Amino acid sequence: MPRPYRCRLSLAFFLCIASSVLAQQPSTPPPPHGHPTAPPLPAVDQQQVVVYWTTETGWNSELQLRNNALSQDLTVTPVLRLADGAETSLTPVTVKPQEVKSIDIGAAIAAVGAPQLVGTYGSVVLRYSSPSQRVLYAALMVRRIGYPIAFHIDAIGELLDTQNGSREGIWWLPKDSTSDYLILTNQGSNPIPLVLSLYNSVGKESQQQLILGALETRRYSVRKLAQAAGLTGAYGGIKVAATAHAGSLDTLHFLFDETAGFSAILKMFDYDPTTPLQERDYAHTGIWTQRAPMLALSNPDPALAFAPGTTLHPQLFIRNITGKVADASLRFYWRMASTAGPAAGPPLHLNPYETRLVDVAALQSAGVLPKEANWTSVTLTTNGLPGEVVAVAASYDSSLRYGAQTPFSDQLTFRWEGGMWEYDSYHNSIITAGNGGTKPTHVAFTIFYNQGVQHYDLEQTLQPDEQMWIDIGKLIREHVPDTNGNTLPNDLMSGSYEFRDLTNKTIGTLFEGKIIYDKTYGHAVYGCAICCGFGTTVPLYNPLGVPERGVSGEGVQSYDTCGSIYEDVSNAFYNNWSSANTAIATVDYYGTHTGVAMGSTTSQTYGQLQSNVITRLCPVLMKYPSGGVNVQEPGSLKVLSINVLPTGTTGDHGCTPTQDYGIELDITYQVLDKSNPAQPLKNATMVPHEHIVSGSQSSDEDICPSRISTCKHTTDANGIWHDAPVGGCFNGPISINFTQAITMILNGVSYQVRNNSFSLNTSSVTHGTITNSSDIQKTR
Amino acid sequence: MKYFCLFLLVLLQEPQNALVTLSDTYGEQTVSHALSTKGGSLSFTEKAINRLGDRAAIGLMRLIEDHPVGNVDQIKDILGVIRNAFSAPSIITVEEDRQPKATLFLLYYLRNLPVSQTIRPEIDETRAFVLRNVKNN
Repeated sequence: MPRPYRCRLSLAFFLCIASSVLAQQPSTPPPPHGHPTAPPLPAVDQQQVVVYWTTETGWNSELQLRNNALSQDLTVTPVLRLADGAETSLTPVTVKPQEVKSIDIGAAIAAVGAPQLVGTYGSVVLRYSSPSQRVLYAALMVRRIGYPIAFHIDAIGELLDTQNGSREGIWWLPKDSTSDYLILTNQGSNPIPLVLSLYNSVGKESQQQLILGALETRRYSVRKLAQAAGLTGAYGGIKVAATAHAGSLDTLHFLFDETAGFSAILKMFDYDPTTPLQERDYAHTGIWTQRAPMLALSNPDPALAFAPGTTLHPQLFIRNITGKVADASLRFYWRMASTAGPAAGPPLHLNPYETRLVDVAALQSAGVLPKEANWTSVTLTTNGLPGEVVAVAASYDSSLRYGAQTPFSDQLTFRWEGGMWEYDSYHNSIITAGNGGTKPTHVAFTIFYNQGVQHYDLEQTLQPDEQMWIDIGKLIREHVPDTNGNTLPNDLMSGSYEFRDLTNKTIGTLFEGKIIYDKTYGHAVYGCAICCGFGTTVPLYNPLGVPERGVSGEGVQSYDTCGSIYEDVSNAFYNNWSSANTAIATVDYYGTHTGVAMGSTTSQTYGQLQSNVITRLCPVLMKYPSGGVNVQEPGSLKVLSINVLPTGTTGDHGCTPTQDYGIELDITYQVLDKSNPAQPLKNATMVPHEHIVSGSQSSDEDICPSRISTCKHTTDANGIWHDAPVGGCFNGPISINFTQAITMILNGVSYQVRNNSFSLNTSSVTHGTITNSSDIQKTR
Repeated sequence: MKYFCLFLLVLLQEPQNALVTLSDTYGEQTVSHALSTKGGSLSFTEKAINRLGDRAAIGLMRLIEDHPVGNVDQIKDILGVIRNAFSAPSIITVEEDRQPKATLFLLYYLRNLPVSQTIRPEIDETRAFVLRNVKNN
């Protein structure tokens, strides 16, 4: 056999083998760039409610508004409701992207001249127009003037469709001098029938029924309710259950003690008995898990500036809210200046409705956690459904004068948008993010300042349970450079922050925490952040154009409800694609479609994303995006626009001043398919090619690129492209004809789509006419 | 002329990654067509020259070898082709042709022709135009 033929056969054999092997492999994912973005969601009226504000004597309320959007300003109108629901609007506030703004409620009331709002309390409504509710993160700081009494309250939205549910909490009255408020607020315009139950530590219940009127705020004292019910002890449980309009109910429970110089917030939790585990099992462990990220241990961190010799008494209150036994377990991840490590806590067997006190200080004394450790995260796992066990952590010295809290939450997410941090001579902020997943993850932390315009970035890889620990004051004081070498300004006093999970971008594994401590009083207040979820989820292309015998990549985009933009989330939907008619199109693991025969069908996929449907949480929900699929061949070109290129020598010019007889055009075409009526062929890989004949001269070349910047080698994602320049430039009058046969090359196949027979005439300088006697006709 | 011919021999080696059509490997037909439509061109010819870059100079040199330059108008037409060939260096098809090696040599040759004495400023301007565009690419 002659050698060249042997080589060719070998090559053919190799290609056959290769193509056979390749056919069994999934294709590569569709390219991440170039797909059309779904149209922006329209801005609609939104509102969130802060359950409580007060201007009563000695109290001060400060509203903090953070705009989570990446590019749009946000204008918020705060409206104060009195306890009976009567409303007064305050001056609207505009917040720039990533900015956090502070509004003193007392000053805002004075500015609008509303004396009826002085010396009273109620709830705050925040009204704004935005595509999604989570564009705004809002919190209200309530402070007792002149005392180490302060706590924050997060705003939440109303869930109109949620009827049944409850708010679950724990009450704690550490001293006889401790006062408390239990606040119930109805966000909605329908009265809510409620059952308010108090339990002692062993689960003995006292309940009362009440109706919470439309927009009403009601304030109770748990101490008085417990005394009236004959419940004894220092702690127990609270349940506020609604049988209708539960999504309009919000509650708050806090303690304060002016004698001791103490305040604490006893976080309450939403409970929906129908919530399945998988919605809140972000780390896919099969066990419902809650964390408290920053429990101050017996030996306080010197950064907190507590009085020398202060010893804290960290403790956990853990409550089984159900009528059945619950098993739970605790684990810790402690830290001190130079080291950190895990520790196992005791197993817990909780009786029905029991509230159990776990003495973490005793665990330190027993050596379960190091005595020298300053902080620990606490992880609480249970064998039940989400919300069936709730917990509160507190760590105070014996006088209650010094201490800090950290809230439990089951929320892990890919992005946290944090509220205001503070740093000055009397304040500092410590912020943390931890990895609640089972694999290492890479975390980005960003501080936003100067009205959100400037940012400071840090990144770190975290092992499971490991935490990133950010001392804002230290970063400023010690001029610690960020990943870009930037440092924070010396005079920086406040800003906002953000954590992003760079490894898990659709179901994240980050938990977070923040405390702001006040050196004047030796008191620390915890703050929260808002988790970000996805909303509307749609295919990248709908309908997707697929060439016959060719391929087109498809993917999925979802609306980031914090940033207010669509994000490509295609990888969460791999391996679940299917075609409704495989005789027309097939689809592979990555969503790459192959055209089998001309026609139309649909394809769909499914996958899990963290969602925004619950105002306080970002549960994991299944999404089912689907869209049309049109298998097409290029058939014709539609002229979308024709522009005359101007005389010039730079940029996208036509004729030059030295050859200015004639005309040159920039023609925009869109490729249509062969169906009847013809439809756009939305494919970004087609190459326009031309065969030109002018007298005895001919040319056969790809049309683009050319010196005109719009002329790209391939079509865009909508099958649109520019032919430029088209025409000619001369030194004097001329009439000339030429033909242009245009083909589109797609997957190596050439499709004839248009024949232009052009006539070009020019009789004077700067003038010319060109026409194909059909849809192209221009004169200058 | 000895060095010119030697240089031509080096330049006329078959390009390894040429994308131009086999029938017009050196751009000779394209530049010939551009020169024949005196006083202007259709856009497809302009585009073809735009994509030649340094290869246009090779085509021009081959033409000059057959039809020596005899007057200033011919030089002006050649300068117009050279300008077109480097008006958009980013779209020159063959990467190597974005460097105006043959072009500078051709301009040097043209500048030293006895007939070009009155047109040297235009030759120098063309040289500067080419170098500027290549630098800005």
